[in-house]
Amino acid sequence: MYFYIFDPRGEREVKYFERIQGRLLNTLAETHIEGETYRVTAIRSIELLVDQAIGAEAKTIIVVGSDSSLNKTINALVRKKADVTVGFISLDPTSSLGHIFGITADIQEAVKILAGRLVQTLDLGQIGEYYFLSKVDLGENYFTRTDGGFLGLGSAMQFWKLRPFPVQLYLDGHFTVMTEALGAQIINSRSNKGCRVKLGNPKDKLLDILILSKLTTAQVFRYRKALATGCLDNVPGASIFHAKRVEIMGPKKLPLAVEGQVYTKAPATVVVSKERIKMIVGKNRQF
Amino acid sequence: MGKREDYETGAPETIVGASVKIEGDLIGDGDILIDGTVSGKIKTNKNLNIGPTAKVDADVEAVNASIAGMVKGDIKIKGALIIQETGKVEGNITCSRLAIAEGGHFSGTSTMAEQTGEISQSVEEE
Repeated sequence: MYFYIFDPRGEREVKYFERIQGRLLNTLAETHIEGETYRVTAIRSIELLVDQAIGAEAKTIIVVGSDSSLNKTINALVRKKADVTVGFISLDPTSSLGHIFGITADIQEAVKILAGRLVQTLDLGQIGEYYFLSKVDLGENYFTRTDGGFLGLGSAMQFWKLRPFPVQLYLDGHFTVMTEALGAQIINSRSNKGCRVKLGNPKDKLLDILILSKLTTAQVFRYRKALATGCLDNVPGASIFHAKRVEIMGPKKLPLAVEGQVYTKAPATVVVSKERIKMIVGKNRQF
Repeated sequence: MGKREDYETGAPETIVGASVKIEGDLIGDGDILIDGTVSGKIKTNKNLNIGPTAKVDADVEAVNASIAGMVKGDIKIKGALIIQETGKVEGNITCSRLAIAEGGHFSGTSTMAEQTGEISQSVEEE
Protein backbone atom coordinates (compact mmCIF):
# COMPACT_ATOMS: atom_id res chain seq x y z
CA MET A 1 0.00 0.00 0.00
CA TYR A 2 1.16 3.51 -0.84
CA PHE A 3 0.91 6.16 1.86
CA TYR A 4 1.34 9.75 0.71
CA ILE A 5 2.54 12.55 2.97
CA PHE A 6 1.91 15.98 1.48
CA ASP A 7 4.08 18.62 3.12
CA PRO A 8 4.13 21.88 1.20
CA ARG A 9 5.95 24.56 3.21
CA GLY A 10 6.21 28.25 2.55
CA GLU A 11 3.95 30.38 0.40
CA ARG A 12 5.52 29.42 -2.91
CA GLU A 13 5.44 25.66 -2.28
CA VAL A 14 1.84 25.83 -1.03
CA LYS A 15 0.71 27.74 -4.13
CA TYR A 16 2.56 25.32 -6.39
CA PHE A 17 1.08 22.34 -4.55
CA GLU A 18 -2.48 23.73 -4.81
CA ARG A 19 -1.94 24.15 -8.54
CA ILE A 20 -0.61 20.64 -9.21
CA GLN A 21 -2.54 18.65 -6.59
CA GLY A 22 -5.37 17.62 -8.92
CA ARG A 23 -3.02 16.66 -11.72
CA LEU A 24 -0.81 14.74 -9.30
CA LEU A 25 -3.72 12.67 -7.93
CA ASN A 26 -4.95 11.93 -11.45
CA THR A 27 -1.48 10.84 -12.58
CA LEU A 28 -1.10 8.61 -9.52
CA ALA A 29 -4.46 6.97 -10.29
CA GLU A 30 -3.56 6.52 -13.97
CA THR A 31 -0.32 4.77 -13.04
CA HIS A 32 -2.11 2.64 -10.40
CA ILE A 33 0.01 3.84 -7.50
CA GLU A 34 -2.69 5.78 -5.69
CA GLY A 35 -3.06 5.34 -1.94
CA GLU A 36 -3.99 7.09 1.25
CA THR A 37 -3.09 10.77 1.22
CA TYR A 38 -2.50 12.98 4.25
CA ARG A 39 -1.40 16.58 4.50
CA VAL A 40 0.94 17.78 7.23
CA THR A 41 -0.67 20.39 9.48
CA ALA A 42 0.26 22.19 12.68
CA ILE A 43 -1.14 19.33 14.78
CA ARG A 44 -0.42 16.47 12.35
CA SER A 45 3.36 16.28 12.08
CA ILE A 46 5.39 14.12 9.73
CA GLU A 47 6.37 11.94 12.70
CA LEU A 48 2.69 11.31 13.54
CA LEU A 49 1.90 10.49 9.92
CA VAL A 50 4.83 8.08 9.74
CA ASP A 51 3.48 6.35 12.87
CA GLN A 52 0.09 6.18 11.21
CA ALA A 53 1.58 4.72 8.03
CA ILE A 54 3.44 2.05 10.00
CA GLY A 55 0.25 1.27 11.92
CA ALA A 56 -1.60 0.90 8.62
CA GLU A 57 1.13 -1.51 7.45
CA ALA A 58 2.07 0.71 4.54
CA LYS A 59 4.89 -0.77 2.46
CA THR A 60 5.72 2.50 0.71
CA ILE A 61 5.65 6.07 1.96
CA ILE A 62 5.81 8.79 -0.67
CA VAL A 63 6.89 12.20 0.57
CA VAL A 64 5.57 15.11 -1.47
CA GLY A 65 7.42 18.15 -0.19
CA SER A 66 10.88 19.53 0.34
CA ASP A 67 14.27 18.01 1.20
CA SER A 68 13.49 18.83 4.81
CA SER A 69 10.23 16.81 4.61
CA LEU A 70 12.14 13.81 3.24
CA ASN A 71 14.81 14.09 5.94
CA LYS A 72 12.18 14.23 8.70
CA THR A 73 10.37 11.19 7.27
CA ILE A 74 13.55 9.16 7.06
CA ASN A 75 14.53 10.07 10.61
CA ALA A 76 11.09 9.03 11.86
CA LEU A 77 11.24 5.74 9.94
CA VAL A 78 14.74 4.83 11.09
CA ARG A 79 13.87 5.52 14.72
CA LYS A 80 10.89 3.18 14.37
CA LYS A 81 13.09 0.61 12.61
CA ALA A 82 10.32 0.23 10.05
CA ASP A 83 10.79 -1.80 6.88
CA VAL A 84 9.21 0.75 4.56
CA THR A 85 10.34 1.91 1.12
CA VAL A 86 10.45 5.68 0.64
CA GLY A 87 9.63 7.64 -2.51
CA PHE A 88 9.95 11.37 -3.08
CA ILE A 89 8.20 13.98 -5.17
CA SER A 90 9.87 17.34 -4.80
CA LEU A 91 7.86 20.54 -4.68
CA ASP A 92 11.09 22.52 -4.90
CA PRO A 93 12.75 22.68 -8.34
CA THR A 94 16.13 23.33 -6.64
CA SER A 95 15.85 20.23 -4.41
CA SER A 96 19.31 18.77 -3.93
CA LEU A 97 18.03 15.39 -2.72
CA GLY A 98 15.73 15.15 -5.74
CA HIS A 99 18.71 15.71 -7.99
CA ILE A 100 20.88 13.21 -6.12
CA PHE A 101 18.20 10.51 -6.42
CA GLY A 102 17.45 11.33 -10.05
CA ILE A 103 13.91 12.53 -9.36
CA THR A 104 12.92 15.52 -11.44
CA ALA A 105 10.62 18.33 -10.27
CA ASP A 106 8.29 17.52 -13.18
CA ILE A 107 5.29 15.82 -11.59
CA GLN A 108 4.57 13.37 -14.40
CA GLU A 109 8.20 12.32 -14.67
CA ALA A 110 8.44 11.95 -10.89
CA VAL A 111 5.32 9.74 -10.82
CA LYS A 112 6.75 7.61 -13.65
CA ILE A 113 9.89 7.09 -11.57
CA LEU A 114 7.79 6.05 -8.56
CA ALA A 115 5.78 3.66 -10.70
CA GLY A 116 9.02 2.23 -12.13
CA ARG A 117 9.92 1.32 -8.56
CA LEU A 118 13.66 1.07 -8.91
CA VAL A 119 14.50 0.53 -5.24
CA GLN A 120 18.00 0.97 -3.84
CA THR A 121 19.13 0.41 -0.27
CA LEU A 122 21.12 3.44 0.78
CA ASP A 123 23.51 4.35 3.57
CA LEU A 124 22.60 7.01 6.05
CA GLY A 125 25.02 9.32 7.76
CA GLN A 126 24.46 9.88 11.46
CA ILE A 127 25.42 12.90 13.51
CA GLY A 128 24.36 12.51 17.11
CA GLU A 129 20.76 11.31 17.03
CA TYR A 130 20.10 12.74 13.58
CA TYR A 131 20.28 10.74 10.33
CA PHE A 132 21.05 12.36 7.00
CA LEU A 133 21.12 11.35 3.36
CA SER A 134 23.32 14.08 1.91
CA LYS A 135 26.16 15.85 3.73
CA VAL A 136 27.26 17.75 6.79
CA ASP A 137 28.71 21.22 6.30
CA LEU A 138 31.31 22.22 8.88
CA GLY A 139 31.41 25.87 9.88
CA GLU A 140 29.33 28.71 8.55
CA ASN A 141 30.64 28.74 4.99
CA TYR A 142 28.15 26.89 2.79
CA PHE A 143 29.04 26.23 -0.83
CA THR A 144 26.22 25.84 -3.32
CA ARG A 145 26.06 26.31 -7.06
CA THR A 146 25.83 30.07 -7.64
CA ASP A 147 25.46 32.35 -10.59
CA GLY A 148 28.93 33.84 -10.96
CA GLY A 149 27.66 37.17 -12.25
CA PHE A 150 29.57 39.27 -14.80
CA LEU A 151 32.94 37.54 -15.41
CA GLY A 152 32.41 35.68 -12.14
CA LEU A 153 32.98 38.88 -10.17
CA GLY A 154 29.77 38.38 -8.18
CA SER A 155 30.93 35.02 -6.87
CA ALA A 156 34.45 36.35 -6.16
CA MET A 157 32.97 39.14 -4.01
CA GLN A 158 30.84 36.57 -2.21
CA PHE A 159 33.76 34.23 -1.50
CA TRP A 160 36.05 37.03 -0.35
CA LYS A 161 33.64 37.60 2.53
CA LEU A 162 34.08 34.04 3.82
CA ARG A 163 36.29 33.66 6.86
CA PRO A 164 38.54 30.59 7.13
CA PHE A 165 38.31 28.50 10.29
CA PRO A 166 40.63 25.95 11.93
CA VAL A 167 39.42 22.37 11.78
CA GLN A 168 40.66 19.19 13.40
CA LEU A 169 39.26 15.79 12.46
CA TYR A 170 40.08 12.29 13.68
CA LEU A 171 39.35 9.67 11.03
CA ASP A 172 38.51 6.03 11.78
CA GLY A 173 40.66 6.21 14.91
CA HIS A 174 43.78 6.17 12.71
CA PHE A 175 44.90 9.71 12.00
CA THR A 176 44.26 13.36 12.72
CA VAL A 177 43.73 15.94 9.99
CA MET A 178 44.49 19.54 10.86
CA THR A 179 44.17 22.59 8.65
CA GLU A 180 42.68 26.03 8.34
CA ALA A 181 39.73 25.56 6.02
CA LEU A 182 37.58 27.79 3.90
CA GLY A 183 35.05 24.98 3.62
CA ALA A 184 34.68 21.42 4.83
CA GLN A 185 32.06 18.76 4.13
CA ILE A 186 31.39 15.21 5.26
CA ILE A 187 29.51 13.64 2.37
CA ASN A 188 27.22 10.61 2.29
CA SER A 189 25.72 11.59 -1.07
CA ARG A 190 25.84 14.71 -3.22
CA SER A 191 25.05 16.02 -6.66
CA ASN A 192 28.20 15.56 -8.74
CA LYS A 193 27.02 17.76 -11.59
CA GLY A 194 29.94 19.94 -12.65
CA CYS A 195 32.28 18.38 -10.09
CA ARG A 196 35.76 17.13 -10.95
CA VAL A 197 35.63 14.06 -8.73
CA LYS A 198 32.72 11.73 -8.24
CA LEU A 199 32.04 11.65 -4.52
CA GLY A 200 29.20 10.64 -2.27
CA ASN A 201 28.15 7.14 -3.19
CA PRO A 202 25.49 6.25 -0.60
CA LYS A 203 26.05 2.54 -1.26
CA ASP A 204 29.76 2.26 -0.40
CA LYS A 205 29.37 2.43 3.40
CA LEU A 206 31.83 5.30 3.47
CA LEU A 207 31.76 9.00 4.12
CA ASP A 208 33.84 11.25 1.88
CA ILE A 209 35.57 14.11 3.63
CA LEU A 210 36.23 17.14 1.45
CA ILE A 211 38.28 20.05 2.77
CA LEU A 212 39.08 23.27 0.97
CA SER A 213 42.01 24.92 2.71
CA LYS A 214 42.32 28.66 3.21
CA LEU A 215 42.80 30.59 -0.02
CA THR A 216 44.52 33.93 -0.58
CA THR A 217 42.54 36.82 -2.06
CA ALA A 218 44.28 36.22 -5.39
CA GLN A 219 43.45 32.50 -5.28
CA VAL A 220 39.79 33.24 -4.59
CA PHE A 221 39.71 35.46 -7.67
CA ARG A 222 41.59 32.90 -9.77
CA TYR A 223 39.34 30.01 -8.76
CA ARG A 224 36.07 31.99 -8.57
CA LYS A 225 34.46 29.95 -11.35
CA ALA A 226 35.44 26.66 -9.70
CA LEU A 227 34.06 27.93 -6.37
CA ALA A 228 30.80 29.00 -8.05
CA THR A 229 30.18 25.37 -9.09
CA GLY A 230 29.66 24.55 -5.40
CA CYS A 231 32.14 21.66 -5.71
CA LEU A 232 35.06 22.26 -3.36
CA ASP A 233 37.05 19.56 -5.19
CA ASN A 234 37.11 21.73 -8.32
CA VAL A 235 39.58 24.03 -6.59
CA PRO A 236 43.17 22.77 -6.90
CA GLY A 237 44.61 21.77 -3.54
CA ALA A 238 41.36 20.52 -2.01
CA SER A 239 41.85 17.49 0.23
CA ILE A 240 39.82 14.29 0.03
CA PHE A 241 39.64 11.49 2.57
CA HIS A 242 37.30 8.55 3.15
CA ALA A 243 36.23 7.10 6.46
CA LYS A 244 33.43 5.33 8.26
CA ARG A 245 33.78 7.48 11.36
CA VAL A 246 34.78 11.13 11.61
CA GLU A 247 35.34 12.76 14.97
CA ILE A 248 35.14 16.53 14.67
CA MET A 249 37.52 17.45 17.47
CA GLY A 250 37.44 21.17 17.08
CA PRO A 251 37.26 24.01 17.25
CA LYS A 252 34.65 23.82 19.99
CA LYS A 253 31.21 25.17 19.02
CA LEU A 254 31.93 24.86 15.28
CA PRO A 255 28.41 24.64 13.78
CA LEU A 256 27.56 21.42 11.91
CA ALA A 257 24.70 21.75 9.45
CA VAL A 258 22.69 19.49 7.16
CA GLU A 259 20.85 21.16 4.26
CA GLY A 260 21.65 24.56 5.77
CA GLN A 261 20.16 23.74 9.17
CA VAL A 262 22.53 23.54 12.15
CA TYR A 263 21.93 20.30 14.09
CA THR A 264 24.79 20.34 16.55
CA LYS A 265 28.18 21.86 17.26
CA ALA A 266 31.68 20.43 17.61
CA PRO A 267 32.94 18.32 19.22
CA ALA A 268 30.75 15.70 17.55
CA THR A 269 31.04 12.41 15.71
CA VAL A 270 29.69 11.64 12.26
CA VAL A 271 29.39 7.97 11.28
CA VAL A 272 27.94 5.77 8.58
CA SER A 273 24.85 4.50 10.36
CA LYS A 274 24.13 0.79 10.72
CA GLU A 275 20.60 1.66 9.68
CA ARG A 276 19.91 1.90 5.94
CA ILE A 277 16.91 3.10 3.99
CA LYS A 278 15.16 1.73 0.91
CA MET A 279 14.49 4.50 -1.60
CA ILE A 280 12.86 4.65 -4.99
CA VAL A 281 15.37 6.31 -7.29
CA GLY A 282 15.49 7.42 -10.91
CA LYS A 283 17.82 6.45 -13.76
CA ASN A 284 19.61 9.79 -13.50
CA ARG A 285 20.65 9.29 -9.90
CA GLN A 286 24.11 10.54 -8.95
CA PHE A 287 25.57 7.20 -7.83
CA MET B 1 40.99 4.18 5.87
CA GLY B 2 38.12 3.60 3.48
CA LYS B 3 38.28 2.76 -0.19
CA ARG B 4 36.48 4.27 -3.15
CA GLU B 5 36.32 2.52 -6.49
CA ASP B 6 34.36 4.67 -8.86
CA TYR B 7 36.49 7.74 -9.22
CA GLU B 8 36.94 9.78 -12.34
CA THR B 9 39.77 8.23 -14.35
CA GLY B 10 43.15 9.32 -13.08
CA ALA B 11 41.90 11.03 -9.94
CA PRO B 12 43.62 9.85 -6.77
CA GLU B 13 41.33 8.49 -4.11
CA THR B 14 42.95 10.33 -1.25
CA ILE B 15 44.43 13.81 -1.52
CA VAL B 16 46.30 15.58 1.24
CA GLY B 17 46.34 19.28 0.31
CA ALA B 18 49.40 21.48 0.73
CA SER B 19 48.26 23.20 3.92
CA VAL B 20 46.94 20.05 5.58
CA LYS B 21 48.82 18.38 8.41
CA ILE B 22 48.25 14.70 9.23
CA GLU B 23 49.37 12.83 12.32
CA GLY B 24 48.87 9.07 12.55
CA ASP B 25 48.53 6.14 10.20
CA LEU B 26 47.28 7.05 6.73
CA ILE B 27 46.34 3.60 5.47
CA GLY B 28 44.30 3.11 2.31
CA ASP B 29 43.53 0.78 -0.58
CA GLY B 30 43.60 3.43 -3.29
CA ASP B 31 45.97 5.94 -4.85
CA ILE B 32 47.25 8.60 -2.48
CA LEU B 33 48.51 12.07 -3.41
CA ILE B 34 50.32 14.01 -0.71
CA ASP B 35 51.13 17.69 -0.98
CA GLY B 36 50.93 18.48 2.74
CA THR B 37 52.66 17.33 5.93
CA VAL B 38 52.36 13.78 7.21
CA SER B 39 53.93 12.24 10.29
CA GLY B 40 53.30 8.64 11.29
CA LYS B 41 52.88 5.95 8.66
CA ILE B 42 51.64 5.81 5.06
CA LYS B 43 50.48 2.54 3.55
CA THR B 44 48.52 1.84 0.36
CA ASN B 45 47.91 -1.10 -1.95
CA LYS B 46 48.16 1.21 -4.93
CA ASN B 47 50.24 4.18 -6.02
CA LEU B 48 51.68 6.93 -3.88
CA ASN B 49 52.53 10.34 -5.24
CA ILE B 50 54.39 12.71 -2.96
CA GLY B 51 54.33 16.22 -4.41
CA PRO B 52 57.05 18.88 -4.29
CA THR B 53 55.44 20.75 -1.36
CA ALA B 54 55.06 17.62 0.78
CA LYS B 55 56.95 16.99 4.01
CA VAL B 56 56.69 13.39 5.13
CA ASP B 57 58.17 12.08 8.35
CA ALA B 58 56.84 8.55 8.13
CA ASP B 59 57.52 4.99 7.09
CA VAL B 60 56.02 4.43 3.67
CA GLU B 61 54.61 1.32 1.94
CA ALA B 62 53.07 1.33 -1.54
CA VAL B 63 53.02 -0.56 -4.84
CA ASN B 64 54.58 2.24 -6.87
CA ALA B 65 55.73 5.67 -5.70
CA SER B 66 56.92 8.96 -7.07
CA ILE B 67 58.61 11.33 -4.67
CA ALA B 68 59.06 15.01 -5.47
CA GLY B 69 58.99 16.27 -1.88
CA MET B 70 60.83 15.49 1.34
CA VAL B 71 60.57 12.06 2.94
CA LYS B 72 62.24 11.02 6.16
CA GLY B 73 61.61 7.36 6.96
CA ASP B 74 61.90 3.85 5.56
CA ILE B 75 60.29 3.21 2.18
CA LYS B 76 59.05 -0.19 1.01
CA ILE B 77 57.81 -0.25 -2.59
CA LYS B 78 56.73 -3.46 -4.37
CA GLY B 79 57.22 -2.01 -7.85
CA ALA B 80 58.91 1.15 -9.05
CA LEU B 81 60.14 4.07 -7.01
CA ILE B 82 61.04 7.34 -8.71
CA ILE B 83 62.78 10.12 -6.82
CA GLN B 84 62.10 13.25 -8.85
CA GLU B 85 64.58 16.15 -9.26
CA THR B 86 62.98 18.02 -6.35
CA GLY B 87 62.71 14.86 -4.23
CA LYS B 88 64.69 14.32 -1.05
CA VAL B 89 64.72 10.97 0.73
CA GLU B 90 66.42 10.22 4.04
CA GLY B 91 65.90 6.57 4.96
CA ASN B 92 66.23 3.04 3.72
CA ILE B 93 64.58 1.99 0.50
CA THR B 94 63.35 -1.44 -0.56
CA CYS B 95 61.95 -1.63 -4.08
CA SER B 96 62.08 -3.59 -7.35
CA ARG B 97 63.00 -0.68 -9.60
CA LEU B 98 64.58 2.60 -8.56
CA ALA B 99 65.09 5.76 -10.56
CA ILE B 100 66.64 8.95 -9.23
CA ALA B 101 66.31 12.01 -11.43
CA GLU B 102 69.22 14.45 -11.72
CA GLY B 103 69.00 16.70 -8.68
CA GLY B 104 67.13 14.12 -6.63
CA HIS B 105 68.60 13.45 -3.18
CA PHE B 106 68.84 10.07 -1.49
CA SER B 107 70.60 9.31 1.76
CA GLY B 108 70.38 5.76 3.13
CA THR B 109 70.58 2.19 1.94
CA SER B 110 68.68 0.74 -0.98
CA THR B 111 67.72 -2.89 -1.30
CA MET B 112 66.60 -4.08 -4.67
CA ALA B 113 64.05 -6.88 -4.51
CA GLU B 114 62.86 -8.85 -7.53
CA GLN B 115 59.18 -8.74 -8.50
CA THR B 116 58.70 -11.91 -6.45
CA GLY B 117 59.77 -9.99 -3.41
CA GLU B 118 63.09 -11.86 -2.94
CA ILE B 119 66.12 -9.71 -2.25
CA SER B 120 68.75 -9.98 -5.00
CA GLN B 121 71.30 -7.35 -4.06
CA SER B 122 71.92 -4.62 -1.58
CA VAL B 123 73.83 -1.37 -2.14
CA GLU B 124 74.61 1.60 0.03
CA GLU B 125 74.35 5.12 -1.32
CA GLU B 126 74.98 8.63 -0.06
